[in-house]
Amino acid sequence: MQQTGELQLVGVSKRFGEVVAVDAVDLTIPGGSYCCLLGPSGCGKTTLLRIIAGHEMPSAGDVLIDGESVIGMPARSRPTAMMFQSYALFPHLNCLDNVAFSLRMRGMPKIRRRERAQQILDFVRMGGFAHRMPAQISGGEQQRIALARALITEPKVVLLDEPLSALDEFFRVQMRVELRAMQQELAITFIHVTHTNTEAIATSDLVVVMDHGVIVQVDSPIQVYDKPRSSYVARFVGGHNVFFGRVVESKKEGDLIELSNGERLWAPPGPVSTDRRRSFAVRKDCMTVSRASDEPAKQWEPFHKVEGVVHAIEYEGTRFKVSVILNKEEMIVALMTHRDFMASGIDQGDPVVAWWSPEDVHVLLED
Amino acid sequence: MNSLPPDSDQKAQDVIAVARGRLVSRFQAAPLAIVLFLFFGLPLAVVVAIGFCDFDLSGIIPDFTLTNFQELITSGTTYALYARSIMYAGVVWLITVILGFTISYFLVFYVRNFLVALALLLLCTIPFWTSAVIRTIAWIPFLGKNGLFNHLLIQMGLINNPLEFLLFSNFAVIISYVHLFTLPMLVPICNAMFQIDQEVIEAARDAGANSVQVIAHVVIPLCKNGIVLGSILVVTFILGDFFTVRIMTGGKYASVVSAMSYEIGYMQYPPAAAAAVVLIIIVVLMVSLVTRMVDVQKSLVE
Repeated sequence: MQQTGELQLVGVSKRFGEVVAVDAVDLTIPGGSYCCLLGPSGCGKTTLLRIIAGHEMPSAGDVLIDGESVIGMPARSRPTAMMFQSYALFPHLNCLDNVAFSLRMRGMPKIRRRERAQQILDFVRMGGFAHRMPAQISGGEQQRIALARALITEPKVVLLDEPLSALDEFFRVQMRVELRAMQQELAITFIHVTHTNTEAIATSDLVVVMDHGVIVQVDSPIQVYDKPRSSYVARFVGGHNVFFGRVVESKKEGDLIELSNGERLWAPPGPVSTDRRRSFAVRKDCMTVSRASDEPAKQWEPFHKVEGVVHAIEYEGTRFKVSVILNKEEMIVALMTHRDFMASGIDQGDPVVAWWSPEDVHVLLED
Repeated sequence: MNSLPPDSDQKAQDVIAVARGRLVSRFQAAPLAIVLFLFFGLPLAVVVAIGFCDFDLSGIIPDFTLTNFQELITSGTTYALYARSIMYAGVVWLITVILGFTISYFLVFYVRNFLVALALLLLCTIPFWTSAVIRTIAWIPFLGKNGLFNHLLIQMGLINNPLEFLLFSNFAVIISYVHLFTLPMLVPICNAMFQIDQEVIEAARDAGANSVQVIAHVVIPLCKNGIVLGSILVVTFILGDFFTVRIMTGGKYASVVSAMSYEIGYMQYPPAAAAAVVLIIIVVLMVSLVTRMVDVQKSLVE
């Protein structure tokens, strides 16, 4: 079966006066996929969503859904449905009529539209809330109603603007699982805007990382987390320690890089030549921290370690988060398993060595 | 020594605390209660009492008689007065509600910038820096037979003879009422409309509503309280007006209240008081009927 709901953005830009919110974005999202737009606030992700929905006109570029341009089409005629960050339920209508609103606008008779709305309410597991007013239900319940209102139009693309940001931790995790399950059941495209990396990685098929109105990486969640393209992505997605320094020696098999504290580290060949600055990354959970005086620490290889002092230790239940200060400004974080941490015997304030294997060094293309 | 068990001792203390709390809150409410009683309750009671008194040319004769009310209810003049006032109220209500809604819509959804909208709204209040009487009278030189407007039309060659219906007519009454009462209608509607979340409007568009449907199904229902509040103001102002009808019809017609003022002028206090009581009852009934349908208090508090 031909999957519908393919979204294509071609050179989409949006300027607000002097400010460029979205800068010549090209992106193809396959039909029936769950895509997260990830980036800090102000990176243009919400503007992009609003352009797709038709609530904002792009200054340039084209938006195509299943190969057809929707530019110039008003929001109400587009095969998209948006779920707003504030949910934006109609405060004067009960939940059933909120959901039935779009059918009412199309002139569907009352009995039929209420019947259909009830089905959708059941689908989002809010069947018992039909006659409640929005002000009488909780934030999480309002969100389900907002989702039901978006789904009733049978859109090809569902646009979710920070859908989980107003929920507390427990409901956030529960809801993101449900959103994913609903998307798979309906087999339509979901585009989910978020600034939370864990949310993007946990739910989506495709993660689009944005910065200052441009897309910096489009990949599967695994690729984005494990193989970030740039130091920006590595820092924002948060799974890596990023090292930044000057190339002092460049060979065929790799570069020797000097950090600001004078320490020299090895990385595979990178994008720049000797004397230029470059960066690389090591996953936080691929780092081991040992006491500087420890004998077994000998296993570390030259140029694959840094020295520092333990700044803080956080026990996260499944693992330990050890922060190590290298010099005044720089800090790295190692995530250690319970067993490794207990074996290391390190404590706050200890002089330590953080080390890793050569194959864990990931080359970053500097932006 | 305390012979009571500790439990009942606690209960006694609770009772005292509750009683004290009640006393404090009564004390806090007292100033307003006293003011309301002295300047509202008492005069109203006097008016009601006088309504049941007899009178002659020399003044009020203390008595208990229903004659004043009987004469009022059986007199055709009363019905004519009310019919006219209600006709004015209806026409003016319709015009001000349309004006108030349209201007609010413009301020909220076209101007968008809250400060600019507020500045424009304040501009609308400038005419209200002068008294209502002066603003009413100011229409006379404009609308008169040899007034500015007729003069202008003749100069432009649109008419040959001055239009007579402009002044001392129902038209003149309605135009000055509209001038007086558009703002009291506008402000509550504008207030309600400013509280509508912009995203709710977008959500309606997203759900397939066109501009007319957005207004009919979202904006109007969400402004309902403002519209009702404005309507109550306009209708009670018009039913309570004693000046505009008399001046703008050149004394041809009277309003309910101006008829009372004639009676007061002739020292006929009891029938005037009776008429006042009937008017108050009618207005209270109307307002309570409307507030039963719409929660006005909510829109005042928000």
